[in-house]
Order: sequence, then C-alpha cells, then structure tokens
Amino acid sequence: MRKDKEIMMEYKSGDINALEEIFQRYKRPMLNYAFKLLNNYADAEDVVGEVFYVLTAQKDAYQPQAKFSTWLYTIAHNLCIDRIRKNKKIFPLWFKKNKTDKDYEELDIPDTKFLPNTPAEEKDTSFFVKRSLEKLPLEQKEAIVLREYHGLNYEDIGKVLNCSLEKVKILIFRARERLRKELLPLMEELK
Amino acid sequence: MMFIHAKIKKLISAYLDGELKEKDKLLVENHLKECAECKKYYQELERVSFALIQDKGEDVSPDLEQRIRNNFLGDKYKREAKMKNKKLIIGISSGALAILLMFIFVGSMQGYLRKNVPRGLQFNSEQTGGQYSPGLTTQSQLGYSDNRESVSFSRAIPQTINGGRIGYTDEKSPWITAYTESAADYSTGGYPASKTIKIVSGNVKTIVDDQIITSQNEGPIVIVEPYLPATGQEEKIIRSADATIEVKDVAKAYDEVVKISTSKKGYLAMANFNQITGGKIVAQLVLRVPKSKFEETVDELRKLGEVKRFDLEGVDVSRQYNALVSELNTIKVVYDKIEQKLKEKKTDITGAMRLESELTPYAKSIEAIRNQLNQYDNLISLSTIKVNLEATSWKLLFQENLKDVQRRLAQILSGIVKGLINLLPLLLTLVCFTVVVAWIISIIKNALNKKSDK
Repeated sequence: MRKDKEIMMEYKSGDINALEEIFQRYKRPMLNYAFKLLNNYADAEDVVGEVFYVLTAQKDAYQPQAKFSTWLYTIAHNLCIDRIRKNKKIFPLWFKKNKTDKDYEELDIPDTKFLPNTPAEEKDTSFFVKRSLEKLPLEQKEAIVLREYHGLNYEDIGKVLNCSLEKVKILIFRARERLRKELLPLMEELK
Repeated sequence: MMFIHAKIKKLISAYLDGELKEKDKLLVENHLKECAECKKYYQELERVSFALIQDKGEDVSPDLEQRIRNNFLGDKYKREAKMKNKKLIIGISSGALAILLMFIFVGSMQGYLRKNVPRGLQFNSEQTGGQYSPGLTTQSQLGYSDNRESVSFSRAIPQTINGGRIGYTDEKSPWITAYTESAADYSTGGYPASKTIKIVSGNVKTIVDDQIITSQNEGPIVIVEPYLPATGQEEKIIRSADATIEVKDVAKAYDEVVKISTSKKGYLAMANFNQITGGKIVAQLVLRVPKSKFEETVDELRKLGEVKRFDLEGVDVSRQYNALVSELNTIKVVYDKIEQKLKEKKTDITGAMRLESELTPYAKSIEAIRNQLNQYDNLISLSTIKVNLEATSWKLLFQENLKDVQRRLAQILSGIVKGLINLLPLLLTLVCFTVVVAWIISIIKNALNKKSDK
C-alpha cells in the first residue's frame, strides 16, 4: 500500500486522482472520529466535508516532514471544536412533552440512531460503551478515541490535541479509569 | 508497597499501549509477575480496551459519500471562506480608516492652534511721566496667557491724547473697537488727537467716527498702540524694544537680523550665543537702528519666527532734555560773561589764574551737560532693539498643543456623554429590540441551514 505522504505529494503536484485516493482512505475514519466527538450525524457529515475542503484549500500548507494522518486529524479536531463551540451558542428549542401538558420542558435531541430501540439492544455492550464514552470530558474522550479507534501513538495524539506527552498519558489513564468503573459492573451484569 | 501500587497503576495504561520506556516497561512487567492485584487491574483495562474496539463505527454509505463530496467540492465552504475574508478586509479597512481620521483630526487641531500666533496676549498699560507727557511714556508688554478665551488688561490705555480703550476679542466677538478722545480739554499741552492708530500686528487703521473696527477673523487679539504724531518740537523719545522669537534655525535667524540692521543703516551692537539645558541654542542680539526705521525693523523682525514676546517702549525724555538744554544755556551765559571779563581785564598772571579757576567749574558743568545731551541724542537717534532668538522647542510646542487638544477632546467627550445620558432610555429600548430580533434571526437561520444541508 502506498504511503499517505506519497499520495499527498502527488496531489500537491496536481494529480486529482490522488485526492480521490486520500478521500477513500480517510472518509470513514474522519466520519467516525467526528461522530464520536459530536454525537450527531448531521454535524459529523458537515465536519467531514469541511475537513476535505480544508485539505484541498490548504494543500500547499502540508509539509512532507509531518505525518499526513496527524495533520488530517488535527484539522478534524479543530473543526470539531469549532462546531462544539458553535453549538453551545444555539438556544435550545422548547418542546411540549405531550399535547395535554401545559408545562414546557427543554429537551436535548440526541441522534436516535444510537438509542436502544429494542430490549435486545439494551443488553448490548456497545450501547453502554457508547454511553460511557459520551460521558467522558471532551479532552479525555478525544485522547481515548484517537488511541483506541484510530491507533495514533501518544506523540501524534499530543500533536493533534496540542498538548504534551505527559498530558496525553494522564488523559488516557483517566479516561480508562472512568470507563473501567462505568463498564465493568455492567459487563459483569451482562455476563 | 502502596506507593508502588499507585505508581504501577499509572504506568499500566501506557504499558498497555506500548508507550513506556524500556526501564519502566521492565518495572511494570516484573511487578505484574508478583502482584495479583495489579495484574487484575491490567486485565480489566484490557477488557475495557477490547470492548471499545468492538464498535467498528459506521460505514460511509454511497449517499453519505455523495453528500460529503458535494460539500467539499461544492461552493458552500468557498462562499463561507470568501465571506470570512470579506469580513476581515472590512474590519481591517475600518480600523485603518478610523486611525486615519484620528490623525487628520489631531493634525487639523495642530494647524488651528499654530495659526493663532498672538495667543492669549496680555496688555499692560501704565502711564508714567508727569503732567507734561500725557500718555507718552506708555509701556506695552505683550505676554502669553494660558487661557486663550479671555485676556486680562491691567488697565485700559489712559484716556488721554492718542489713547483710548482697548477691547479684546474672543471667538464670539471677533471685532474690536477702540476709541480716541480729544485732548482739547487737556490743559498742559501735548499732542493733538491722533487720527490714526497703529496696530502692533502691522495693520494701520483709520478712525472713522471715533471708532475703529477691525475685520472679522483678523485675529483673536489685537493690540492697539498709540501712534504718536509729529508735534511743533522735535520728538525726544527713546524708543526701544525687547523681543523673544522662536526660530527654526538660530544661525540663519542671526544672519537675517544682521541683514535687517544693515539694510536700515543701523548696526549690531552685541551678539551672544549660549547653549542652555536641553541642548537648546539661544542667541541674544542688540541692534541699533535709526529712529525713523524703528517700526520697519520691528515689523521685519516679527517675521523671523514665532513671536513669544515683544515689548515696545517709548520713553519721552523731552522734559529732561529740555531741562538740560536750559541748564546748559544758563551756565553758558555765566561762563561767557566770566570769560568776557577775563578778556577785558588786564590783570597780572595771578589774577588771570584766579579768574581761570572761577571758570573751571562752569566749564566742567557745561562739559557734563553736553555729555548727557549727547547721550540722549545717541539714544534718541538710534533706537535699541534687543532680540532673543530661541530654537523651536518642538517638545514644548507639542506639549502646549497637546494640552489644548486634550482640553478640547475632554469637552467633546463630556458633550457626547451628556448626549448619551439624554438618549439613554431610547438607546436601551433599541438595544433590547436588536437583541431579540438577532436571536430570532439566528434561530431561523440555523433551522434553515440544517434543512438545506440535509
């Protein structure tokens, strides 16, 4: 398999097919990464589109000395953070609980794709994993996602998150501690 | 032991990821062989890690792929990027324009301030001399006042011949009127009423109906100096001036002064150059020019630079002069008589010497009086002008201008604040309305965006 760096340099030289190759290689990792952070499919789709747009717009900024995947994940990370900040500014919509209720209650609208629709799903470990992951603080979640789901080493994670190696170790350690405390009792129960 | 457990626990996570240095890796491995608790902890973390990676994530469906392609290949982000650039350009241009306007404002204030050369002039007028010289021994002193809005006068010009009152102008009343009064009732003699007065700024005005009116915007301050007309007797007035002028180049200004004095058939009596604190060069010059060229010289000297101070003095010494002349004449009569007697009497040497010795005091007095008269003649015929030349102190100029600019800015700001206070209720209503409208628009916009993207 060709190296990312090689393909990117071809694209920089003007080979459009190289872009297609990059897109095929990274469309899924980018989507899953964005979704894990944003917990919203619509936002994740938008961010993935923006990631590749930025790649095309700033291809000249890529330096061959840097690892391509780290560079791309850094773009995705920054765009996700922007999206999270932007979403915080939006006022939540008020919904009626039901038609007869006079009192209004604020409801957060999660992506229903990952809510347990059936009792069987409620017994599925992955549901609890996703829920536990969602509860983690953003930085810890990012670090553990990049490590477990995308296989980045600590040094690259530090570059994406713009923090030191020591901090990355602490983030991953704490994330695993929390997940262990959350998941182990549930996993025992499911056994 | 507890301490080692806590340390190893922290290392196990990194050990799991293969991120430990060789030394720590060995430490953990050895400990895990011996410690069941830590080994259990390690296994738990492995299970968590295994559970996490079971979630393979979503595949990218063809529809989704197409949507993503449309996004990054389409115009959506290009438009947003262009909009961001536009906003940046507008922001930078507005900032630059604001800075430019500020410079123009400060610059125009500087120009306005510098135009007002006779700034805050003070006029002191005192009458000296006795009944014989009404308004003749006047002393004008021009000085600066910090407060340019009003000018104080110690006293108006005495209501004598050629005198009158001086008014002062400010921004509200740019005209000045001065009056002359007839000296018909002045019993001790003197000069007839003048029909012209000379304004120190260089303009000569004619009196009309006992009033003199300057033009609008002629300057905030106009100083009126009595103009002494010709009389039946020759004037015995010692004219002098003392000026301080700020110039850009002291050496050049010195050359100019020499040229002026020479062209007026006068001479430079003294020149001193000094360097004072701060490196500023000052020159002190004394010119002597014929009395008929006095005013011309003063006018030309004013053009050298910014006049800080210009004192003009005219001391009428006619009384003293005439008194000396009378005394001289009297003594001469006595001397002549004694001399005549000496010539007529045929006496011996002793007698002649005795007579001679009687003449000596008279001769000495005559000599002394003649010397005094010569001195007076010298001072009268050649006017003395002292000129202090100072290099322009830009710092001082800047500081003075800055004070005025600050004062004006403070006035403007207080005006704005007062205006804002009056408009406060209206402004608050507008702000609340704007916030509500903006909020509604943002909600609608976000809802529409999400709809169109899907």
